[in-house]
Amino acid sequence: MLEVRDLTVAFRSGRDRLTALHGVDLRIASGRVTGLVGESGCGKTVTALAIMRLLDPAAHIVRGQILFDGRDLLALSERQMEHVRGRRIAMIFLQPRASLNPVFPVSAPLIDVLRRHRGLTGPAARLEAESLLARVGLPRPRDVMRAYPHHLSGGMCQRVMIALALACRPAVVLADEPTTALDVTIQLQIIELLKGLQREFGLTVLLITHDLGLVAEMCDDVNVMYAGRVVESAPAAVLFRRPRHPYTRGLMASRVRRGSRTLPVAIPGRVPDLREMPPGCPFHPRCPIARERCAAEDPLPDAVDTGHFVRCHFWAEGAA
Amino acid sequence: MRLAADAGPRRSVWSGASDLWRAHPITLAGAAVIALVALAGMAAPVVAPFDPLTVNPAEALRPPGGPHLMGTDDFGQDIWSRVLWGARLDLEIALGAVAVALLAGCTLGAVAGFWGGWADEVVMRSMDILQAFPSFILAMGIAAALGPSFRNLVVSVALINVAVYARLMRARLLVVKQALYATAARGAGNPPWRVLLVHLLPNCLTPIFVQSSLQSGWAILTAAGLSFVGLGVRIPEPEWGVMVAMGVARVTAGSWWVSFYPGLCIALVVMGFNLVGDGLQDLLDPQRR
Repeated sequence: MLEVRDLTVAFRSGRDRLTALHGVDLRIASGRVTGLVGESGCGKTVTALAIMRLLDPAAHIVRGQILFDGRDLLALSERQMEHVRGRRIAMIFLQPRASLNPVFPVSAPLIDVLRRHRGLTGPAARLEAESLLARVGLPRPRDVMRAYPHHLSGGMCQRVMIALALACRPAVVLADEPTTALDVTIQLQIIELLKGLQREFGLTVLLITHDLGLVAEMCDDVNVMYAGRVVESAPAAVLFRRPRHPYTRGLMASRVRRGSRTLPVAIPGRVPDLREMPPGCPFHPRCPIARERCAAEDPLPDAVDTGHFVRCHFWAEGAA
Repeated sequence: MRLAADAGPRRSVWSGASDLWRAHPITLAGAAVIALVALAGMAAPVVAPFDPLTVNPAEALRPPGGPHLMGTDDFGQDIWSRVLWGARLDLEIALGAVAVALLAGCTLGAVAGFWGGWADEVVMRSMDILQAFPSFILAMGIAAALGPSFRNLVVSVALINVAVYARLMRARLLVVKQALYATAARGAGNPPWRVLLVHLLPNCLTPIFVQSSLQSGWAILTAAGLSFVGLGVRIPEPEWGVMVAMGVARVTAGSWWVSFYPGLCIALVVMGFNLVGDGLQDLLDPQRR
């Protein structure tokens, strides 16, 4: 279980201080796939990077806790954190090819991780790397070992990154938009691969995406983020059946669905800029059920049910 | 499943390089010149027909021909032998100076670029000071302050180039440290120093190597220049700059060969290094592997 509590992150930008995350709460249950959904710029990647403690130096964590293995990751020394990264928590990034170093063959980072965290060297490490590459469905892993990133397609690079993430059997994998940069046909293969590996190893996964189809396909629990807050959090089945937050409803309505006669409906307006955050609830300028109170007061998480939280003053009303 | 891995990985680096040589004959010519000069320098003790320092007044200022392939100078020293020994000395100075400048400059640039902040300020402002002087004047100043000797010549030629490497390294690091693979390397549990040394530095080296080749040419020119004005290696030593200096007064008197041959060598080597520098850019591109 990985738990993020009240995580608040701010960025220095010249004289200003921009708050990117406003008290994010997140529970990533062991052995389950937890989705983190939202539009670009809502703070999904910042959350993941904060968990890994890999935020840009311009960012700083104002308050909050990240509890893992009974410890607060934010309280660990950089040295201790190096034993968590890659070994206990691994991350898969948005752009697979850019995550691989262009001057080394793709086996280099694998062997590096195996040596660093599992103490394997020489032929043992090479053998293990090769079997990992085979495990993620790369054909002719021996040839792939020697290939440079630019010899491989995007999908193959992402398979290498998945192998790299799994190399040390981490407790948690943070997958940041693992399929977004890939062709649609390749996306499906990667999703199938991730699903298979998740079941096989009982992995705990945080899946960051803006693709609700992918969430429906993979996730057990879903957290919807908007403007640096988790606005709704529920088991996937519940969220898709009865979304409560008007933003979640908007997201659901904006989906293209097969067999549906109704056209998808876009949410009017767009995500507010960090510099011009509206007062009160950040969603109220775009919200169909907003009232005066919404502009004055930022709602706190409200329990709809066990395991279902919503940040909205009026979630009980206007429900379809 | 697409298979894009078919073409590349089997070919060795060397066969790739030989293709490139064929495609870039001018680079090859430059490399050949340098190789030839290096060989001449290494073989000088065996090949040179005369001792480069033996004075023989009876044979002074003989024109090229006979036993003296390139003639003799004021002291009757054989110019061909001295040119061969000079190849050794000049390459030592050039490579020594480049190696010192490269090590010092890259270290400073890496520290400045990777850690930023006050370290960056201190290093780069010091480099600004170094670069504020015209480089040859600065080299003259340093050489004059340290006194003329082989070691001091290397140090002064190196010092004027430190800033070039520091800047190159810093600029390149500022780019690559933002790369996703840098974050990915940290995410795999690498400590910062390892990210810098193992993951980022190899991505910074191409411009450094290209610059080193160009700088080797310039280093020879600077070293010869310093020796020419009397601040480098001293007069009887077989160094090309010194030899040119010795012959300058004789050129108008008709003894052109005293300055001509060492001067020609300087020009050839500088050209060779420059040609190789241009070709290295392509050769070192990781996309070619």
